[in-house]
Amino acid sequence: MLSRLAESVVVVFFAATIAFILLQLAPGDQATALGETVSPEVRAAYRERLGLDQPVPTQYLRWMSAIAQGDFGWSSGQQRPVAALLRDAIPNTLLLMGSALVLSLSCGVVLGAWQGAHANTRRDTAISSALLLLYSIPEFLLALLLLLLFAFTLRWFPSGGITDDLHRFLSPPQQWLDRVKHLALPLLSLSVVTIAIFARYQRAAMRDAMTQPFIQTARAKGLSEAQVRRHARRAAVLPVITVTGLLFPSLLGGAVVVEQIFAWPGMGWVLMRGIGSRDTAVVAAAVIVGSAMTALGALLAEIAREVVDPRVRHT
Amino acid sequence: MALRRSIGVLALFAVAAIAAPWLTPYSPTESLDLITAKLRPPSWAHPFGTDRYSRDVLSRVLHGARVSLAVASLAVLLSLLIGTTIGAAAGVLGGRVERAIRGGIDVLFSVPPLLVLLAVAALWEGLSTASLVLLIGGLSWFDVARLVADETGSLMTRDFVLAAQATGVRRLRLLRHHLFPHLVPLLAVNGTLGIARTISLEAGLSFLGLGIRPPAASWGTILGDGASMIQTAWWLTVFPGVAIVLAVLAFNALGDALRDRFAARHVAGAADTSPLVEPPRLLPAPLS
Amino acid sequence: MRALLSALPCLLLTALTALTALSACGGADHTASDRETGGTLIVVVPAEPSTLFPPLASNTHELAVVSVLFDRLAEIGDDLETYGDRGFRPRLAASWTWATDSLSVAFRLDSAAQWHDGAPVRAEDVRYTFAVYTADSVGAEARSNLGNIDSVTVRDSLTAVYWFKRRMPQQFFDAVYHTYILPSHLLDTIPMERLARADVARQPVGTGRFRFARWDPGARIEVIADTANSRGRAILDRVVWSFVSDLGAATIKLFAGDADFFEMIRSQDLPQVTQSPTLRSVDNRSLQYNFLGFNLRARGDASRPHPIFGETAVRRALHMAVDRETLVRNVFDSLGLVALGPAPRALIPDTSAFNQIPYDLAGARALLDSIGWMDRNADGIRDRDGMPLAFDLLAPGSSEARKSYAINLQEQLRAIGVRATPLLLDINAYVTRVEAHDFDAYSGGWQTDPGLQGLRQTWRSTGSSNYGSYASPVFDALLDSATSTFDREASRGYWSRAFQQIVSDAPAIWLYEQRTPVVVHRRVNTAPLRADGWYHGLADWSIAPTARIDRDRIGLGSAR
Repeated sequence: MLSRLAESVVVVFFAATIAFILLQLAPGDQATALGETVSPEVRAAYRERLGLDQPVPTQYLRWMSAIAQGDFGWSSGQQRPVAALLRDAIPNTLLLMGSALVLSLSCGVVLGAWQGAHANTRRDTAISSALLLLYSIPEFLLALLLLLLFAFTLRWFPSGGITDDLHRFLSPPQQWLDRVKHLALPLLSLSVVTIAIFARYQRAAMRDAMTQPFIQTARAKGLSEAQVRRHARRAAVLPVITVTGLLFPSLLGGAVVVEQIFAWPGMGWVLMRGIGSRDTAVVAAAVIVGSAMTALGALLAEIAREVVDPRVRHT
Repeated sequence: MALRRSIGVLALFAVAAIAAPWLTPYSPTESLDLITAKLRPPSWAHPFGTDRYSRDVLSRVLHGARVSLAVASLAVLLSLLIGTTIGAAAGVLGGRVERAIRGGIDVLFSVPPLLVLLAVAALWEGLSTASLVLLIGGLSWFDVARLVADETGSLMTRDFVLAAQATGVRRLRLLRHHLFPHLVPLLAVNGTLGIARTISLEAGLSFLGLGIRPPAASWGTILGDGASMIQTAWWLTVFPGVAIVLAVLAFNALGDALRDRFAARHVAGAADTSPLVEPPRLLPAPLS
Repeated sequence: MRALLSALPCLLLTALTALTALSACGGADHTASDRETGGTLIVVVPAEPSTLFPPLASNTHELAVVSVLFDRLAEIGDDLETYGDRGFRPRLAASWTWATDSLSVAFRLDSAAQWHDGAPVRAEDVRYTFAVYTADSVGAEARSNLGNIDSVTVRDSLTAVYWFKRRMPQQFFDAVYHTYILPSHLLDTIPMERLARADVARQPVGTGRFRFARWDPGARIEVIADTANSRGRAILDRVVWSFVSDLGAATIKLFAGDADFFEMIRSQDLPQVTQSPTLRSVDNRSLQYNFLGFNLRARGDASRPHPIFGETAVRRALHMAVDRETLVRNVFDSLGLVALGPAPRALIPDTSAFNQIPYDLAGARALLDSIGWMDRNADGIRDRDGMPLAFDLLAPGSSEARKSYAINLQEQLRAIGVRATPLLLDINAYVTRVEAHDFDAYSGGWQTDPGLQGLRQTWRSTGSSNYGSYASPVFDALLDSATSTFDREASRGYWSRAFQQIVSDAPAIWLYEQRTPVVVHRRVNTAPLRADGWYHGLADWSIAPTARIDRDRIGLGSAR
């Protein structure tokens, strides 16, 4: 448990180091980005102010201590502190990823549990094939299709953004509806793949559990099939939780693309804008924050595992 | 059944990719006529239509198959190579080395590869196709390494290995002749699924404009080019989109089928803790 | 062809009417009820401004917001006459008086004018504004247009005096057009180099008939009518600039009724506009031209010529290889024209007085052969001294048209053995690179000021926005003569020769001018759209009470 926490710290430290190395290796620095029209003296002064003239180890220490204090530098593309950008973006990403996780966990677990209990029936096979197909559609393609169908053609949902332009003039229930409408398509785009993954895991875990000795004992004791399944489901929950922790990197990757397509102002969208405008501070911050989120996800999954399964605590 | 079908589809893709120049009379990059031949819907002359630069979309999709499939296969090959080397080192050497490697992999796992890929593409402004392959390969070996470490670790306790060690077989030779054959199923399954994942990763990158640089085009690039005209010119997105999904699906199905086949054989052979028994597709089985 | 001279008589007429009725009038046929205040206008724009600090606002999206929040001393007339002060109407200045030698002009400020925070506008603000716009540490783009102004002094609290170095036909235009007056009482405690990062850059306080309401990062900027404005509040309650980077999504927003105004409609979407019961398209003259600009100096070392583009013959050969007519039709259908030189047709005094470089593939090949650029290693790319004739072509990825051009140019240049690799960047990154002269070739476009003054900034050897570092003493001299002579006939002659010089030198391939119809909701009565920016009359736009929809009835909401 503690080691997990320590590991999260190491991850952030490591990610910050990677970001630093990338920035060092990349051609040009913030001073050259000022342009040729700037006189060499101005550029030198700028370098000095940012400490870019210092030896690399000193810069590295400064970089690390700045990040430890939550200072991620200045965004040249948006002309404000990166930390302010992150404050705006992170809650949006968490909202999107969090609801995607809830949706895909609930759908995936229900679907997979049903399949596991009815393994190798014709319906199970059909569902498995369908899930394999859904799993094979890249998020960006799915997002594009949903956009075309529900936003462009049917116009049931807005094509992007997180709220309507006149959101703050709506009544509270309308505001709520407005948020849901904006969330629907990005959420669906992000969730379909994860639903498929969860369902597959749950199905396998369930099928495994159904063959366990304690299930046979339960059956022998004359428990109803529904009660037996409840037992099996409880046993099957563990692997699913573990997968959840491991899914964060790919969920985050999916979020980048989905946010970009639906102009959802979260981390992915900020990162893509940062990339477009060669806003190095933003790109570096995105790598660090993304890694921290992933590590945090793994940590939470670990905690959940402990809560569910007391055996883990002893190891 | 699924095995044969997916192999069939993949063979078709392979033929299309290799024979692309002979299957279509048009060049994938050359404009036919900027005014009269732009944005034509599918017809006999152009079964997949033409794009806004009056290029034949069928030729682009066929040539795109080369780029998409080659990039994915090479990157996965690279990741298998790195992953096997590092994983096997951990498994065979054991002890402190293994702990260090496993700890490192855990940390690496938390850095989302897509973010690093995007960051590198951003800072260096567009990557050559070769460096794209190197990068993707270099960022996707973690799970392979972990699996291989698990597998070799467990193999090290098996009788035939102990016997070989007892007769004084050196580690490298042990690895090559005794352990590697046992890793093949794992690598085959993982590689196949990895290709599926990498095709969609590369397509996503190219769609975002950060993957393959023009005039070369992968399926993702073609799709990205047409995305802004999705309402008026559906053929620009539908055909490359179908190609991507089909290829990814075929590789996924093949991976599944391979795993089922190997698992059956495995179970028949000896009881084991192989991660191949159950469907941890994207990720290693965490059922420890 | 709109030449300035032929338009002159009507200009005089409008100037006279402006004198009798000083208030700015919008569309002529508005009834009284149309002028009733209220209404919400949603404008879709493809990019978010990075600043609202007027000296640093450079692209049209930034300028649009800045121009409704801030004021100039005097505003140019709808006919955009830049010669003398005849067309100009009072704005922050109520009146102005020339010194007898014409080397200074004293602006008498409107004594009722006040900042959005309630502070009065003072002559000190004008002096401070000039100091900011000309400061090295601020780096305002307009700086090079202010070169003829020696200084600005304060005569009394309501009178600011502009002192000129030389008498010029367009000195009044120079003095007022490029600067929006800034609130010195809020800014002068902040060191100049920090102004760009100060809060005022994101929460501007101006004097316009709209005031700043809020900026939701990544989503929208909202301005509302300034009810306390001395020139009368804006008629609309509210204007929202909504950022939608995808043109397709932006168009959908418009068709779905979630937006009222869009200035970047694609030709492929125009038919749908004509069929729409709620939208109309308004033809909009715009003073813009687009080109492929070459960097004549080596990247990273401005002292050396560019290894490829330093040579005029190479540039001419590339120009000859580009079929501009076909490209215009491919990208714009009927909504574009081939550009003739470094100015939109509407501003060129005589478009027939200079010759174009013809489209001539064979000629292009022969020319490159003759100067040693040949394909020696048979890889399809010409080379010389071991260097391939290959370069990156910078273009903003946010512009469909320029992206299309970049890819089309790549293909057309390939035909003569030249490899141009398009590099599509976000608009801000693109601007950063171009301003830093960090490129080989770039897809450029200028939304020009009225008059041809802008050429001094963009193509004169000393111009601050001469990104390709074109330097021709002959062109400079002709340009200077054309802009300084008071004899309009002589000026015409100088201009023709100047255009011939720069077209022949080919520092760029002049690609296209765009007809840019804007799409607007039918319920909105627009003021005449000015060619230098549709937004200049925004405070006079209105929505008739009978035509209002839900969002027009919100009211001022969180007004002060």
